[in-house]
Amino acid sequence: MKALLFLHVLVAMAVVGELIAAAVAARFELWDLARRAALAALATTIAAIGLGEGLAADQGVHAGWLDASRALAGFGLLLGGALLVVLTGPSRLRRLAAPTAALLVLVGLATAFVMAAKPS
Amino acid sequence: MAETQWLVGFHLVGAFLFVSGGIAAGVLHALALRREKSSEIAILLRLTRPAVALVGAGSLLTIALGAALVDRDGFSFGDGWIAATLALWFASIVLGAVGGRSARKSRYLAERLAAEGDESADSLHRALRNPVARVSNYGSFLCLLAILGLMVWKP
Repeated sequence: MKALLFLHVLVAMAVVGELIAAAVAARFELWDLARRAALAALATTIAAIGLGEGLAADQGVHAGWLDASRALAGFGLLLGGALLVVLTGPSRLRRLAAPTAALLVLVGLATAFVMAAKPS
Repeated sequence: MAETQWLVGFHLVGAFLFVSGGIAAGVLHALALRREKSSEIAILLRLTRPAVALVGAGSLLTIALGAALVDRDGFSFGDGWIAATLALWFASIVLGAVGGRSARKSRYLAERLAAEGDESADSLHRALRNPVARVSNYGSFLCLLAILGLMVWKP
């Protein structure tokens, strides 16, 4: 169980790291790099959610803070990550890629805050 | 929400900035190693600067709130896993600074070479592959992994 928690946190940190790389690359219009980082972040988000669900099932946790973090990860990081992949592609809305990636970094940090603080 | 919950929450946010910023800087540095043109290497090394700033902010937030939590939750700095965490935190900072110093020198060199004609240069590739810097960077990251392990298992 501890190993699962370790992996979950580490993979989640990788998600935020890839989003930071995507944000910086998009800010300097390095679209190939930004797209690759966005794709990596999306794939890693799926892994982090999978590990998190495995952890929740293992511990039998049912709580509001868990639902809140699920919503942030699902609607924020997963859908937002997919949107970022589209924006960093050959899109006319590319100028929105850097702020979107920066916003997703904040969503990732907010998710981490909720998971750690466990507000009732 | 209780004060401890706020402290734990922001302590983890700091840890995320610390580790995630390091991962972002590492990815950008690794990509710079694969480029040939000095101008491309200079751009990628320049991109690591915001990530390194996040590492600095995260490291300070982590240690400050971690110290507050030790005091508040009845732990002691003499507890084995907390003392080990502090030692690893300092080691990570020192090793990261050594690696970062080498990366900064490589960036200055890449910028100078790019301004002089943007050709591939052996001196730049040697600087990027500096073994001391590579060992320092990997060592710094391993320290962070060890800290994360100590935080999870609390042996």
